[in-house]
Amino acid sequence: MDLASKIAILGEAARYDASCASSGTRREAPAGGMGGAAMGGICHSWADDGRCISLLKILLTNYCEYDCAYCINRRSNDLPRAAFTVEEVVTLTLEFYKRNYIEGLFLSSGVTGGPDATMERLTRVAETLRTQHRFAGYIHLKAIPGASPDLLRRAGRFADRLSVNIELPSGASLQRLAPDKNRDGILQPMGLIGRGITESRAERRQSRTAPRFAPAGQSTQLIVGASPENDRHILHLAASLYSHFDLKRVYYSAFLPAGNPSLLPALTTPPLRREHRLYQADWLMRFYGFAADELLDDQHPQLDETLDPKAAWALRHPQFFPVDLNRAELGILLRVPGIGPTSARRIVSSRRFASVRFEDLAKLGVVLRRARYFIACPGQPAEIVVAAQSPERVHRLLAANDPAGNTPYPTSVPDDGMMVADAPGLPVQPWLLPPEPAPPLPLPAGKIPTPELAWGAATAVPT
Amino acid sequence: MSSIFSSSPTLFLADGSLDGFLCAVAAAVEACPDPEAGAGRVMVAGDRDAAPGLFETPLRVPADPDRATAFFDRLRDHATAAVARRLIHLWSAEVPALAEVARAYAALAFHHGPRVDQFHAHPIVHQALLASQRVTGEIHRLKGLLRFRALADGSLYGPVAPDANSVVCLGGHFQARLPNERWLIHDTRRGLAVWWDGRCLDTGELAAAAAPPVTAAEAAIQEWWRGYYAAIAIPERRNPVLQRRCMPRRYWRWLIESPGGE
Repeated sequence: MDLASKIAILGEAARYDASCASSGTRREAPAGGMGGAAMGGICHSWADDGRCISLLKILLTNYCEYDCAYCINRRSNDLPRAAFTVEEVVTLTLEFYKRNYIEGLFLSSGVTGGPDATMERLTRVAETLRTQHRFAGYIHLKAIPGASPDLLRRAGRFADRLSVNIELPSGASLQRLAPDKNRDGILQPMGLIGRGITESRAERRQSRTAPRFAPAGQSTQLIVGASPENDRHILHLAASLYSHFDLKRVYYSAFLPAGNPSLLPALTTPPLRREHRLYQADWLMRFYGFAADELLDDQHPQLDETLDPKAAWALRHPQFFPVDLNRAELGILLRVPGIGPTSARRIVSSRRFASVRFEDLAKLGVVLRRARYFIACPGQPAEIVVAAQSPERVHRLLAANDPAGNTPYPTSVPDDGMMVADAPGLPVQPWLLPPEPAPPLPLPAGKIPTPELAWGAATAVPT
Repeated sequence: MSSIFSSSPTLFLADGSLDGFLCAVAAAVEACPDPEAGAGRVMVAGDRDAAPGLFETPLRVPADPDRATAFFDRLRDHATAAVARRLIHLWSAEVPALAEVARAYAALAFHHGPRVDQFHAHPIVHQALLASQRVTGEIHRLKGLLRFRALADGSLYGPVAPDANSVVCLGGHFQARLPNERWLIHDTRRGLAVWWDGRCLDTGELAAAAAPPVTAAEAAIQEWWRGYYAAIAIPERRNPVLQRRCMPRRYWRWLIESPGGE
C-alpha cells in the first residue's frame, strides 16, 4: 500500500480523538536540530469540521485486538486497515514540520501484539525523532492501557504530553461496551503518569538539567452520549480527575453513531450542543472558580442546553446579584455572566483610575447582552434593572441571545484556549487566557469525589 | 513650534517608514506632552487624510534612526517594553488614523508610566490595545498558517499576504525553529521579504512574482498533506462557519490544503 493511502486510512482512524493541543510547554531546537514548542500552542489549520489542526494526529495502525463497541477501529468492524512503519511516521512528521504544516505529532495506535508491544512502537517513534533527528517539535503520545510502567516512563521522557482515554464515564459502561479494557488498566497508567509529572517538576526545581517527564501534562477524553451517565456525573468525574491526577485537560467528545449499533443508542445526530455545554462547564471549573456541585445538583442533573451554564447558575442564585462592579473582588466578578477572566481583570485595573461606568463596559470586553441583568454600576439604564427583577424574562432573553443555542452549529472548539465560555462571539485570542486559576470564593465549595467514587456511582445508573 | 500654543495646531508629517513614524510621534509628544491637548496632530504623509486643515501648520519630520531608537528606549524605560512595542504595532497596522492614536497613547504612557495599559476604559488606551492586539493576533495566526514550499535547491519559500506590515516579526520565530534550513518569507502584498541563509537573518524588498515551480517530490508531499487534511475532518461535524471564523478566507490563498473542499 502506498503512503498516500495509509495517510488517508490512518488519519481518518485518528480523527475521533478530540485533542489536538500543542500547548503547555516550551522547547527550543538543540544544536543541529529542528523545531520548537510555544507555551500557548499554535494552530496550523482548521479542518472542515471547524476543529483546529495543530499536530499530525494519526494512528500507527488501525488493526486492533480489542472490540470496544463505541470505537470505529474495533476488531469486528469491517473497514480498510493499514499500518505505518516507524520510519514512515518519522519522515512524515519531519517533512510536514519543515513546511510548517504542523506543530508536531500526536501518535496513537490500535492494540496489536498486546499493550506492551504497541506502546513500545509508539515510544520508538518519539525516541527516533528526539534522539536521531534532534526534533524539538511537540509530541503527544497515547498511553496504551495495560502497558508496563517502564515503557510509560520511557515514553514520558520523549513526549510532551501523554494521554490515556477514559472514553466511558463509568465502570459499568466500560464493562458493557469495552469488555477488553478494565478500570484499573486505565486509572493505573494515569496515576503513574501523574506521579511522574509531579516528581519531574520537583526535580527540575532543584536542577534545571533534571530530565523532563511529559512537561505539557496529561489529558484524557470522555465520550458524551454513548452511555447513560448524566452531565452531573461527567462533571464530577472531570473535577476528580483534575484534582487527583493533575490533568491538564479533559476532552469531551460527542458520540457519533459509528459504533456497534446493537449496543449503542441510535442517535441521528451527534449531541454537539451537550458537548459544547460540558466544555463551558469545564472552563468554569478551571478558570472561574466554580465547583462541579455548584453547577449541577440532584435537582438539576443535566446542563441546560438552551443557556450557558454560568447564566443558568446565575438565574438559580438571584441572591448573589446584582454585583457592584466598582467594589466586587475578582472572584466575584468572575461569577457574573458575560464577564470573563480578561474583562474581570480589566475592570479591577481600570477602576483604580476612575469608577467603571456602564458605557465603559463594552470597551473592557464585557459581553453586555448577558452581563446587563446581573450588574450594578453608574450609568446603567433603568429598564435593565426592571428586567432583572423577572428571572423568567431574563431567562428568555438570555436564551434568545445565546450563540450556541440559536445556531445549528455549536461554537466549541475543543482545543487549548480556543473557547472562552463567556465570549463565544469574540475573536479567538488564546494568548489572552488566564495563566492562573481564579482565587477561591467565599462560597461553599463542592465536595469532590475521588475517581473511584465517581466511577462507582454510575453502577446505580439504569442501563 | 509656536503654533502649538496658538490657535493653529501643527500637523506632524511622517514618511511611511517606522523610523519616520516614531520620529513624528516623538516630535509631537515633545512639543506638547499633554495627552488630552490634541493640539499637535501626527499624520502620515502621503495619505489622503494628510492634507492639512485650514488652520493647521504642516511640519515634515525627517526619519532619523537614532532619534527613533532614542524615543523608543525612553518610552520603554518610562513605561514598559510592551507599551513601546505597541507603537510599532500601530505603525504596522497601516491605518492612517492610528498615527494620532499613537501620539496620544505615547503621551499618556509618559504621563501614567507602566500603569497606562490598565486604563482600559480610556478611549485612546482602548483603541491602542485593540489595534495592537489585531496585529499581534495576526502574527500569531501566521506562525501557524504560513506554508513553506521546498524549491529545487532545497531552500524553503513561504508566501504570505498579511493585513499588517508584520512579516519581519515572523523572522525570529522561524529562525529558532528551522535554524538548519534556508528559507524566505515573502509578503506578496507589500513586496517585502525576510530570509535566513543558515547564518544570518535579513530583510529587504522583493517584488511580487509568480510562485516558483514545484518539483515532483514536493508535489507528492503536498498531496500527502492534502490527503491528511481531507481525512481528519469528521463529516458529521462539518462546520464551515467556525472554520471561517478561525481561519478567514483571505488567508486561504497561500495554503497547501483546500478548506471547504475548494
